[in-house]
Amino acid sequence: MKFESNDGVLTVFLEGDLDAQNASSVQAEIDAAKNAHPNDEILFDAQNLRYISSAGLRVLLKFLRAAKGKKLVIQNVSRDVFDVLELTRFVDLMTVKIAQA
Amino acid sequence: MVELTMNNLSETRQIVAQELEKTKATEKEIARAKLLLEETFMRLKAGLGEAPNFSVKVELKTGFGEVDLRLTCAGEEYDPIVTLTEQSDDEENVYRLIILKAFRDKMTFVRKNGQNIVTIKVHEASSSQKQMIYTIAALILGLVSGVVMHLVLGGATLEALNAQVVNPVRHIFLNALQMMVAPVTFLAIISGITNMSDAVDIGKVGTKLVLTSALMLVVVTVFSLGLSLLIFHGDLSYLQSAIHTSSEVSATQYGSLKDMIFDIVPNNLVDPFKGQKILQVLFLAIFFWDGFKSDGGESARRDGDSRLFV
Repeated sequence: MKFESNDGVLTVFLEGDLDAQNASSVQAEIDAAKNAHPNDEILFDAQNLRYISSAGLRVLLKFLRAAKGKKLVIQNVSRDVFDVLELTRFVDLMTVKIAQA
Repeated sequence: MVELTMNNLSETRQIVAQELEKTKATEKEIARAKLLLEETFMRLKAGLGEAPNFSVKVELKTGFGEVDLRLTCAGEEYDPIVTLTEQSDDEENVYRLIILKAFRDKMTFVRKNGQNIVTIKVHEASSSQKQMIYTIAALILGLVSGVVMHLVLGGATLEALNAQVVNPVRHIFLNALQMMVAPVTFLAIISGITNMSDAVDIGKVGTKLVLTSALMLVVVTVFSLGLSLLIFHGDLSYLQSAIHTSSEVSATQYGSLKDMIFDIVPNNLVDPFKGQKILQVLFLAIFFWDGFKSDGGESARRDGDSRLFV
């Protein structure tokens, strides 16, 4: 997974599948990157994210809680991932930007 | 068949997706199947004790235009299909429940030979496909039943069966069909016309419909006559006598084309439906359409533009 810190924003480039098999390791990676840039605001880029399940949503929720009321952004979301976010009302918790076709 | 475990979740999803791509399942259905596969697996795992080596056999089942994923696992009986009232305090489980509740109508559970079997419906045959399958099955069954009865039962028994069972059932069925013809024609035409935005659409669709129906009528008539000539070895006297003696068939008799055209406008609202006068029913549908016609979808277009993704 790639990370980019710029102007106080830590962009997390989510990749592949975020599921029950790898959710813990992904969370650990993001935790480590956040600890290295504690004052940065997190921005999720889902351009290369193909799939997310309830386990993946739990990872996003953890960082949402840490943002303390601020709406985090997840951008370049594919249709399939958006459908899951919409079904579980994550679109109310986060700012979700669909990838341009 | 694939054995799904916690360690090969992603790989199994890819395999399942590749196999589903070879079927009639759409992209959206494949995405949904992958999601339900994982969520159901995790629910089964949790419900059956969270064993570290827990595994589920995943099979793809296809037939009659339908595509299913079947998950089978051994162990105690456990039905993973969520109930609508089920709740959870665990965050991950909350989202899992939301997903599984949203698609619970796509899943069935059965316990068989000590195995828990969950079937996820990935793709369903369209209603027109189902109708075609049922119709063909009924035709074949009817043909086979008729031939078997003709061979096995004697003449007197067959006649009694026809008189006591087959004819009354056929009479009831035909009455039910005839009862529906006029109202369905009336409502279908009004519904179809009100869903079109302007008269040009009506003209185009109407013309296509008339031409297609006429062509189908010619094809079906030629095919039926050809089949009858083949089956009855060129002797259609049986067919002619069936038409003459049939009491269920009725048709309005007109003296001339002029009479038929002038008869299109009914003198009351009940007789067209009572007397099965389809031309008069069509006239009434078009007459009443003028009172039902919509604004051409402008309202729907305005509402669609206001949707924004933040």
